[in-house]
Amino acid sequence: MNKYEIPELIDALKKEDNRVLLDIYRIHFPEARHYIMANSGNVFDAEDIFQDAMLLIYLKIKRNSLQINSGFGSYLGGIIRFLWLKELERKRKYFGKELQLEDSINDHSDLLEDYIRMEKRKLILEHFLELGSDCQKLIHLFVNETPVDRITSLMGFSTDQYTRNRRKVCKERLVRAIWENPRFKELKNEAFRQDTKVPRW
Amino acid sequence: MKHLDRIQKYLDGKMNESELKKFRSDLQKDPELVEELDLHRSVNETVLSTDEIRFRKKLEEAYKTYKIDGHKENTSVSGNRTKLKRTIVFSSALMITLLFLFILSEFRKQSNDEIFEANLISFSQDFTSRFQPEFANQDQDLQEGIKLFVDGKYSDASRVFHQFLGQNPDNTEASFYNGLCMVFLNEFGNAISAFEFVLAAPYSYYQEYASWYLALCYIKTNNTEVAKSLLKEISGNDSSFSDKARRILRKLR
Repeated sequence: MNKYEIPELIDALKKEDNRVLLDIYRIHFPEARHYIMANSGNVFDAEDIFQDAMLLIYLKIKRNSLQINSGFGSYLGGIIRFLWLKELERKRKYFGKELQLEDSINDHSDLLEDYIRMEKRKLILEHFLELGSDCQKLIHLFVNETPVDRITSLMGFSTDQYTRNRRKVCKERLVRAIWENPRFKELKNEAFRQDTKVPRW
Repeated sequence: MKHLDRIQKYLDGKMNESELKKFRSDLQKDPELVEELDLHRSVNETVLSTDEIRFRKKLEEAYKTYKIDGHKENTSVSGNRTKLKRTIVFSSALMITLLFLFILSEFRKQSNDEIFEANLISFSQDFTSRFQPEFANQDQDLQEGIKLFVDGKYSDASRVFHQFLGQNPDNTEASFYNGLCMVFLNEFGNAISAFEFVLAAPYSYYQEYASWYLALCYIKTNNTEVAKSLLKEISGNDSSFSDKARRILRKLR
């Protein structure tokens, strides 16, 4: 993306600059769409993969772990190819073919780790949003370290003990749903394959 | 999933010395305990990761704009050279006219009523695309109220929300929707109270929307200075209404 210097682009993404995001779509999305549609995907896959790739870059920027040695376009393209191949692999359409990574991605293991982290967060969020609105609020308030008595009054519950019990039920429902999701197991195995250490995500 | 209580106790910092020691030693030898603990931590991190959700929303908005732009481009190119030339000339003239009208409309001061009406229309789009998918997560009474609201039965919806709020006085969701009913029933004083209640809560999904509709209510009731200061606040935030707020600020008399 010649219009911007890499540091300028990183800074803009960190600030979530709408204008730059639109430019990135204008310049790079058509190529991504073409690639995905030419490889068993459709336009909706292209939208999702492009968004995931951008989020992955954003998360890398947030953790100060983004290193781009070539142009932004080839870096983004490499991530898109990587994510699409992972998706195809997941859909079992791509059995037996070795995963080819682009030369522009020099941190392969780091990318896989980021991918696993992002996918797990997507899964968690998906299950979180499936909870009732009271459960969502309750978990959010607890995680935000809001005092229990305040939560009791905010939620209109009768006692603090009831609030704690409700939190336990909600949290258990959420954690159990994620734990039992086959996708979670897949990601756990993938993390295990990548690194024989216990996964830290 | 057999360590739920212990993990929660550990994360809440409620373990005593010996429990803590035992827990740490179990962590060394039980990989499943480590995985469960990691999952709990990830859930907490994800629930707090509002920046990721916000960034996705921004990407969606950028993509929507990109699609609209692309459509314009596609419709302006067609046929042979002459036709293309004619199209270009026509498009240029049209663009200049549109640009002129756009500049005129951007900088023309509008009455508060005009601004209110123009910005309220976008609400129905906001509603259908953003709030409706959450239906499945709501209490039945609340769901019924929202359905009535969507059907344009504002008085009936408001009655349901009032009833619901009688039993759940701190529920910001019901208060937000009730505020919207009040807007459509032209009861702006009540709408303002409802939105202010949402904003006073320490946390609510609806705060971003409540501050936007509160600003519109202040515009409608000619509290222009209060509206301006609220719009300035919205335009300076990462709100999805910040562009709209800036545009209104230019148009307010």
